[in-house]
Amino acid sequence: MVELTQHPAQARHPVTNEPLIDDHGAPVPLLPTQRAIRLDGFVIGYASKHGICFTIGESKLPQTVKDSAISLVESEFGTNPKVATVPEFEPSREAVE
Amino acid sequence: MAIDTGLGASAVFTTQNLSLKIVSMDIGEETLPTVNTSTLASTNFESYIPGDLSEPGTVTFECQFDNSATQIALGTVDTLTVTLPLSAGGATAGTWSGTGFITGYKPQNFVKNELQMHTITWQFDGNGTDPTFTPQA
Repeated sequence: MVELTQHPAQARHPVTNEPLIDDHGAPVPLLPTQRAIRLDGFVIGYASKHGICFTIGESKLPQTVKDSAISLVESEFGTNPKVATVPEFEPSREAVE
Repeated sequence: MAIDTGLGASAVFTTQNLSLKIVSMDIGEETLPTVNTSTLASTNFESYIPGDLSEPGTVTFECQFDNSATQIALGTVDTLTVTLPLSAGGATAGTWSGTGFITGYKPQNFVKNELQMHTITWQFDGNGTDPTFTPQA
């Protein structure tokens, strides 16, 4: 299942450097305007109003997962997101030969 | 205990939409200056107290060059998230996150039998979001 959750980075106290917890026991987000894209609980990318950055390559990213993430980010930030994935290299013909 | 190698780490710049093909990254170091408090009455050693402000550090990325990737912009304030490899027993990988900007970009060399590589240098700005480590959960 693809889901959008709060970016996992946790804010820290400016003086004591202790991790901050809110009144409900949840970590205070360090980057409140950013989200993590998770596939079955594992982070596969990050999103903000600027777009999506997947941390895995295109070949390991099923189109349905990509489409679901785009649709979730679209509904969260209200814009058609720019999408970046880790570039993958195809060996050139010369290198293969 | 969650010790691990560097394989599986990733880095993204969310404002510029950059997701890089990284071969190695050096997360830099945070350093605190020292203030010398020695006087003419001091004995044996110089004495010091900690300075007030730490240097937030610079990060260096060595990456494979992708001809189709977006041109990298120097000086654009961005948010960097370095995600650590997920170690055994964890559900959410640790992260290093903070705001800053790219201060250096060394394009590729063209050499036969070698991949084109480029180097990016990032400065945490200590201005917006301080560089913060969030451990694996």
